[in-house]
Amino acid sequence: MRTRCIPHAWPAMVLSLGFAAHAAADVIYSPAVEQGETAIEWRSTLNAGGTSEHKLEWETSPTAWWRTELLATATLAPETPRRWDEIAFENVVSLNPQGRDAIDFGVLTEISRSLHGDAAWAAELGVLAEVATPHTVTTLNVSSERALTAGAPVAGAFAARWRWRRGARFEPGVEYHANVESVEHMGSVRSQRHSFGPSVLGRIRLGREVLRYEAAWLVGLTQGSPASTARLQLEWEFR
Amino acid sequence: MSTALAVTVLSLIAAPPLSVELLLQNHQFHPDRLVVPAGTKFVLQIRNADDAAEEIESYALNREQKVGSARTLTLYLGPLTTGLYDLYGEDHPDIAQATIEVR
Repeated sequence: MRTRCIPHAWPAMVLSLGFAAHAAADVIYSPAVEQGETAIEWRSTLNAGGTSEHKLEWETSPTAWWRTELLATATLAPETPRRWDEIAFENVVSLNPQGRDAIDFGVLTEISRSLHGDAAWAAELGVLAEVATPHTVTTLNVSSERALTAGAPVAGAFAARWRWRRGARFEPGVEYHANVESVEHMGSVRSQRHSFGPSVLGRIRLGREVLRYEAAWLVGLTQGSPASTARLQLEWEFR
Repeated sequence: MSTALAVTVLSLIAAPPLSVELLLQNHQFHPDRLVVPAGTKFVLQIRNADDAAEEIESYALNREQKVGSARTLTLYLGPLTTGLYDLYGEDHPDIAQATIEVR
């Protein structure tokens, strides 16, 4: 039954703009891959109400079309123990060279495993797209994630960001994130998560190394959304 | 069907994009200035003749890629508006500098 539903879920996700994974990692992936880049990254997403998710990752790009990452995730809630609760292996594959076509495309794949409970595995698949003009970059991500256990729902995610390339150290923009717990039972728009808000990105050179940052403040647009979400991402790129 | 055929024929007879080249030798670009027309997509090929890899970076061109020793890096760029677009090598930023003039 489920195998018949999954292909129909993708167009439903795209049309409804109700998406993203239940883990709600507010990350926006570019399909562009920078060959030779190696970095350590910290991502934090903090929701109003006290829940938060933190990821520590190591990434490297062996080629101009492949970026691979190892991640550890801690999801925290009030009165829960502080511990790592998931590890993941993530890959971004660029499908066309940056700038060759009007739209740059890529694919995101992730396999993750819970470190507690039933130690369940989960898989995520996403499509990444980016359009750049001399002064702006627009990035779109559509993805779905499913625990590899019988009867588990397929979660969906959509994220979009527009940014103004006004200078390497400070690029203002806006971003939007949407999540549904199950693309097969999407429910009303009010029950889904839809968040929107301003963001800033930048990179600061420190000798031979580079510190990249992203930060965003998202406001929930529906009852199913956190009232507000703060997102912070720091990447230390070294050679 | 006829539309698909027309698209195929047009793609076959369409002129290839303008291609320009830079040589990276002794950690310097040769030439250090290129001129390309505004509003046109073009291909920039950077051949690294040095013994070491170099990371080519240009915020103006929105590109950052490593080019290995004795390898050629291909960048798809444009269309750009008139102006000067700088690029440099991260490992030798004082001497590995080039400018693309779009006019």
